[in-house]
Amino acid sequence: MANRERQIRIYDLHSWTGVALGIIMFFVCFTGSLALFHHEFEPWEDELRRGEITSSPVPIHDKVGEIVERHSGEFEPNFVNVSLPHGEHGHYDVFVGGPDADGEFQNVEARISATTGEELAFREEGANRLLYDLHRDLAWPDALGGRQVGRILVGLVGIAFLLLILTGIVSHTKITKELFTLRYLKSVRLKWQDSHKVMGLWTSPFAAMIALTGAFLGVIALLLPLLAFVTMKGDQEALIAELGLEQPARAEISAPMIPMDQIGPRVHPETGNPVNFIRYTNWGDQNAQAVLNYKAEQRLLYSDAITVSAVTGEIVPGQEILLNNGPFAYILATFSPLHYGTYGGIVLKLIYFVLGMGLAVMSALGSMMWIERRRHGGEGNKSDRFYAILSAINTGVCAGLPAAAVAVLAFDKVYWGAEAARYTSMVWFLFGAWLLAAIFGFMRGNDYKANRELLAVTGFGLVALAPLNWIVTGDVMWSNFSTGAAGSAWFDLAFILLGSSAVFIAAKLPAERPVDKRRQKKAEAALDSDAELQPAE
Amino acid sequence: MSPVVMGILGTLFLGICYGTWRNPRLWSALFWSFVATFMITAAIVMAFPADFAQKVFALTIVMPLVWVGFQFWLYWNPGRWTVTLYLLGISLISGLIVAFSPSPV
Repeated sequence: MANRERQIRIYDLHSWTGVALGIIMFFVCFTGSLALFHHEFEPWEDELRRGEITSSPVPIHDKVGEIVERHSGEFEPNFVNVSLPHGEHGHYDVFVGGPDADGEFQNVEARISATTGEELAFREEGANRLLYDLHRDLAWPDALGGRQVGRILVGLVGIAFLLLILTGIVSHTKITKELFTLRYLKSVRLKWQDSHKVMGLWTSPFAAMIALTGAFLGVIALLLPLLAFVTMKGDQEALIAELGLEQPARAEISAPMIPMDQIGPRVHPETGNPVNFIRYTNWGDQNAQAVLNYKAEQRLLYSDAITVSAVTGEIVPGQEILLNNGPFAYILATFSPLHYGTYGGIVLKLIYFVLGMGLAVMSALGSMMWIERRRHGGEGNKSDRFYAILSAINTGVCAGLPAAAVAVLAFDKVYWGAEAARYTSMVWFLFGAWLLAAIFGFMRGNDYKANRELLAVTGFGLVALAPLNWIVTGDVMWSNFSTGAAGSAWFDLAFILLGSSAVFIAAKLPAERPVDKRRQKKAEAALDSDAELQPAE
Repeated sequence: MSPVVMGILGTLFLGICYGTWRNPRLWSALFWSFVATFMITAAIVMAFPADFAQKVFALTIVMPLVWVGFQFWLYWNPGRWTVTLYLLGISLISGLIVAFSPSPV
């Protein structure tokens, strides 16, 4: 009896947590699946990123010095980041930042041609960055506390996700049987229930890893200030210093920088991968350091890094604190690559994408099941209208998000406004499109039709992205697979395949709630027996 | 802290206390489990004899699991108030350890 009651309590915790956070879970899982390809997507989004990588890029050091000099009156340019031509980056990207007179962090960005050394037109971040930010920190507005608040909220979703996995597994008493049970030809409820269980159980190790690493990446933003409050009387910088994570202080003695085209090992001594990113701290100072980053694609690290003095060029040992500070620090260093699947090449990212989308579908299925059980399974104590409204909201919001994501990618392609307003315009457009799709789903009056129509719109939109790319940039997909625009061409192909699949699935989805044959038979039998019991007239 | 902020926080705290009185499991899962997790983490950081950075790194990994563990325990245990009282006890004892421990650095 006690076990039965416990089972019910755990199941209730699972279902109520799921239904309360189902939509936000769907949102985080869906945007997370897209965020996996944040870097790979850049050439599709920005045609200036396409092109052959020159084997002998022009030196960049003087140009960077010129940019720093140009802005040194506006702020103290402490940080200089330079992305070297590699992979999908056919040019240099330069970031210069530092505090202004009021202590506020200011920065400028520039793009330099690797063949001529001239400054190229700079394109601000757009839809790609927005979809990435939505997963990482919900692109939380500054007026409501800024990105840290968004990060914490996503971290809390990770905590709830961990709880859902734990309670989901515990509430399944016949796991081995349920792993292999899919009753697709029975009732709607059984179909959704079995899909939810099978997807949940098979993906649970992946889901647990994503939830734990995601919870850590988000909740750390809450934990660090609180720990600093308790242990360092609120001094967060003191805590960071104690953990060995602080940047070296400026010596306030000017010193010439070693040219960045020559500094440090150009290829990693162990992996042989070339340096693709250099990050300077204390630029122009005696204590300046340069961290050279090398791709670590096949290792469980975000990147390999070597720190050198930017004045003498000597390697500074032990600077990568998370790699040189014991097993726990190393485990923490693996969390980010584990979460974003950066350690196994594009094949691993594709596997992550499928599993991530599976988690998103599972979240939506969980909410659908909850409503279905109450609306048609006799478990609800509210009116049919109440559950119909809930179902319509769930359908509109969940099916509307992919349609809005496709729409914002198209909008970014044809965006004609000021560059400075690009990102903000994407935010408004995405949420506007999502709201419209959700209203359509809500007003449609038939969730099955709304779902298949929104999926069809998403599919047609995806297919249309490839010709849109061709019209706007002039890069035709089939002639670009062997050129510097191959990254963009592969995305065109992926959009056509994914879009066609979505249209095909939409065509196969039912337009009405399928009739529960078993229940119908029972009802007919009951009617027959009632008729037999009626006295003959 | 301004009186307005103190007033808002005080009202929020009273609301949480009232919510806990009405539904101890739910409000402990929402709030007290986090307080207990954080306080026990802080107490270990302050009082456990080990390298400060190593303790913080290890506890940062474990903390989400402890938090979820407390939430799960609330619904696993048959007693309506049992785990809530344990969580309050853990928070209190950890708070005392934090208050009376010397600074770790």
